[in-house]
Amino acid sequence: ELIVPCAHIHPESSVVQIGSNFTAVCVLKEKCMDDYHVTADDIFWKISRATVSRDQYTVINRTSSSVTFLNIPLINVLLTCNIRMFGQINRSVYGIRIISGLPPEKPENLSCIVNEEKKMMCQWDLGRETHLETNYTLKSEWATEKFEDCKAKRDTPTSCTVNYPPVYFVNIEVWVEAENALGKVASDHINFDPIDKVKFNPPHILSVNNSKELSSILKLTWSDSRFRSFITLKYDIQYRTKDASTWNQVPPEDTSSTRSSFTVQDLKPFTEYVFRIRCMKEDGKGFWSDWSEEASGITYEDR
Amino acid sequence: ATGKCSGKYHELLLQLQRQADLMQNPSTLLDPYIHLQGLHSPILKGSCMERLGDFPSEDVLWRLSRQDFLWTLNTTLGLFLRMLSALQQDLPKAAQQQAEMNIRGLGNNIHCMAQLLRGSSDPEAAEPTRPGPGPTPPPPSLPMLPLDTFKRKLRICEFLQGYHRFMRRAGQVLRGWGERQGRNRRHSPLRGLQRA
Amino acid sequence: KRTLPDLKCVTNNLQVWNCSWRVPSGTGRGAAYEVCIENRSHSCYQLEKDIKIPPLLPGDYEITVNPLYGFGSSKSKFILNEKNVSLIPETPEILNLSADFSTSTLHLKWNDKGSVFPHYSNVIWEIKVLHKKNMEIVKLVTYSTTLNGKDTVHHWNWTSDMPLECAIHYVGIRCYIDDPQFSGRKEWSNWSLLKNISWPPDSQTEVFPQDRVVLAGSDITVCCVTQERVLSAQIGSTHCPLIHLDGENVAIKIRNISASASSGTNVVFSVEDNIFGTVVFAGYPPDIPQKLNCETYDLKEIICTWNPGRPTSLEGPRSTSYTLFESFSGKYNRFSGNKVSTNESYQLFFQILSNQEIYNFTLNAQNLLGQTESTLLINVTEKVHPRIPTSVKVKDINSTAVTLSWHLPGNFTKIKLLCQIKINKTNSEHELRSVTMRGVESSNYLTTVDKLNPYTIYTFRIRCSTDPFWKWSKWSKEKQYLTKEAIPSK
Repeated sequence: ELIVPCAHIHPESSVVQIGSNFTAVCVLKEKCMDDYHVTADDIFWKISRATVSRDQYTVINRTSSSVTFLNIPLINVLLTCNIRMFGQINRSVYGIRIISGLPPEKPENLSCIVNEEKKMMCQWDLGRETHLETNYTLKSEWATEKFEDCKAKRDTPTSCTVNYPPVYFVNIEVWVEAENALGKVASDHINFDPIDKVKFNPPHILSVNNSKELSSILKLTWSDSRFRSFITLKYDIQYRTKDASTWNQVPPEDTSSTRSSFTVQDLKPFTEYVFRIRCMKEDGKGFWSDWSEEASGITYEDR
Repeated sequence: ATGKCSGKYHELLLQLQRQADLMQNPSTLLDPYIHLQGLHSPILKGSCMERLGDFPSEDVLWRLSRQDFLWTLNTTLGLFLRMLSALQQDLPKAAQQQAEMNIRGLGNNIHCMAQLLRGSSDPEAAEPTRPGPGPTPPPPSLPMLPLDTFKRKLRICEFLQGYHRFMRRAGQVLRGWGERQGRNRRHSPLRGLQRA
Repeated sequence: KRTLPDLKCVTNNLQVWNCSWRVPSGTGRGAAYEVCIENRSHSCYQLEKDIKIPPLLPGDYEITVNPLYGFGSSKSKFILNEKNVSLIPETPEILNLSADFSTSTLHLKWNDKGSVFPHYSNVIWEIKVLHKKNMEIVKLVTYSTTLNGKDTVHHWNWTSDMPLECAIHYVGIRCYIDDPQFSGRKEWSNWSLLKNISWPPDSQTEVFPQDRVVLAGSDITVCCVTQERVLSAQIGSTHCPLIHLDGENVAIKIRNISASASSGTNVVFSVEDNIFGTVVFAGYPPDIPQKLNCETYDLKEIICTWNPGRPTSLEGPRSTSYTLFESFSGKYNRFSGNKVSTNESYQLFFQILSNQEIYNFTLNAQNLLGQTESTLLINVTEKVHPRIPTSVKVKDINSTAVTLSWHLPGNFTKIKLLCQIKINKTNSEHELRSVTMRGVESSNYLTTVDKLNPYTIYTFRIRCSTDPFWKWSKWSKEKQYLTKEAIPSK
């Protein structure tokens, strides 16, 4: 039969906001007061090993004593209510855990990305450290449908990947809710069409061909995203000679629409060039793909 | 509904058009099905044609008022959604899930467009006019699937082909909306037929 | 003594000899003879040109043939011996020929008419199966039985590798009586009248078999029953040579078929602007279930898990079904591999029965290609894998001892538990203590932990197993506790 505690502390273990004040009340049980001949006067408080100075106590009545802490710092401690029995034996009669922290700040800079053939991932800034267990939940919905909450993992609280496939050309509303023991707050809502958040897989260079007729050109061909059949892409093409370290850029206006080949001109004859290419949505919404794998080719000899 | 519809007609119409473009692409559902079921030989692919009656015809779609067109699109795809879940064992999982999401997404945009048209002052948009007694499309019905696996495979193939073709037809009608919005002309079948 | 020209004596059943001879040319019609046999009873018969005589014992018998009227022939004597007699059984008659098209199996039924035969005798039946087109024999088999003086109906089943729908199948039967006591010539009977089986003609083109499950590596014949000209046939994307059958029907022979993908192997026949086909599911019988393990978390329910072994290539409705049968109680539980995704584990639950500790499990695995099984005999009290202890609580006894309590779900009243307590003092090594206790009805357990330091933060974790040991539970969550302060010494 378990031992019945001699006293009780109100409130039970609790989370308090840093910088706030905190008062706890220890209430002795009549039976114990009789058994051990003690009253609230015999109560003394301890935080972990340290005894709290008496000026912070207030004896409320025969059975109860309170202790108050001002401007609580960052703590995670055990507050115990103790009695001095028979004038000489100290005994802890009840204990609570006090953790301090901060309510979550409004998550900022919420942004989302849809890597091609992957599910949408959104990320945000947390704001200040709360020192408390704080849950971040990504919410998303259409006009006609709410999607399952996306709970950020403990070790990656600043991002979440939804568990449903992306649906393009349908505006989706997304926001983040942060919640801990001290409060709950929501980020601003953002509303977008996932098609404007796509990061395509890098194009794959298929060939780099020179021309017998013109020794200053190399023609690139590449394959890229299957999205090409229903949205317009633009490309960045860069090239350098084999030994150079800096890249030359094909003028963006030359590659500003969907295509699968391009002829780079004004190259030195009989020289090996290395090429790389990336793509993104033509209107600039979304993200550049990673660079393709490099591919090289040699211009034809000069006649 | 959570009331988050875009109030911009053109943006919504463009989205509907692009969705139709995306969903008419066989690579989103039919091709993965064909691959899973081993129907990729030329002879089998060649026999995977849409069967008349599975989905409303182009002629029917052109004759509908916009509200009726949206209703037909939504009802037909709602039925197709039910078919998709009945075909779970036959379809590649990822493609089926994406198709379901695309259809639910289109349903969302249809809801928003219908809401927009109801609230619109433009007589063409709000009060659908049909030249003469347009045929009310027969309520689409789910095809009866044969018991023999081979015939079932082909029948499903025809049905999925029909879905993509239907989405192409819907896309063409939606593009017709775009062209006529400025000129406030009737959403008339003749117009549609002259284009075919 | 001469033998009559072309004398031919035949017996169907060793009870009557039919002897007939060629009547010399010029003999008028209706010529008659008196034939006398020199045997014990010197029997004579009057007849035309063939004679039915009772069987003669082995040995030579003088037969005199005396023409009664008719001209141009005279009395003649000749020798008849059993050796000159041929035993040609009666032409058998097929009672019934039926077919199970779904399994391409023919069922033949005939009567051996043993009652007409005087004594036991071995008889060999030859059964032939033909296709109509060119009466090509597709199957010739011998089948032995014994005549036992009674009419006995015999059955013979044959599974065709070509679907029976593909061609009209004809069946005939003949027999050969191998009577050791008969010294004459033994010959095959005539073939019975052919009986046939045909798929009811239908204008619709059909491919057979439909949705057949076959063993990977076997041969299979697929045919197209049609009235249109078949242009080509292919399995998967491989073209196959056409075998022409009756009319426009064609077949292809697929040898050593490879295991199918989950959706089966498509076989397609194309005619002018159309195609017809079937799906063949080539796979394997289930492997013997491996690593069959049965244990209990709580002595209320047994959970058996296993590894299915080699994949069968058969999925969905054709996947392997498992039945867990317990022989003492006669109870069983079933599991269908139909919905198992690749990474789900194969498991079945079995309610523990009051006052039964020994369980004799047989896990049967079955699909359309075969079945296998694994067995396991356990004493369930020796297979307890307790769950994680929960609701760990710590109470003071004094500054150096506490009571530790926890909840361990399970019906362990009849067994002993062995639990371990991991005691950590902050930033120091941990200590392990073991405690054994009797299982209790309430599933709540209590023990004392002494020799602790006063006023010190300890972390306690608990795990349990049983005695006899099988597996440890996982460690419980950590429980932190600050021991009381020591009472100051006087």
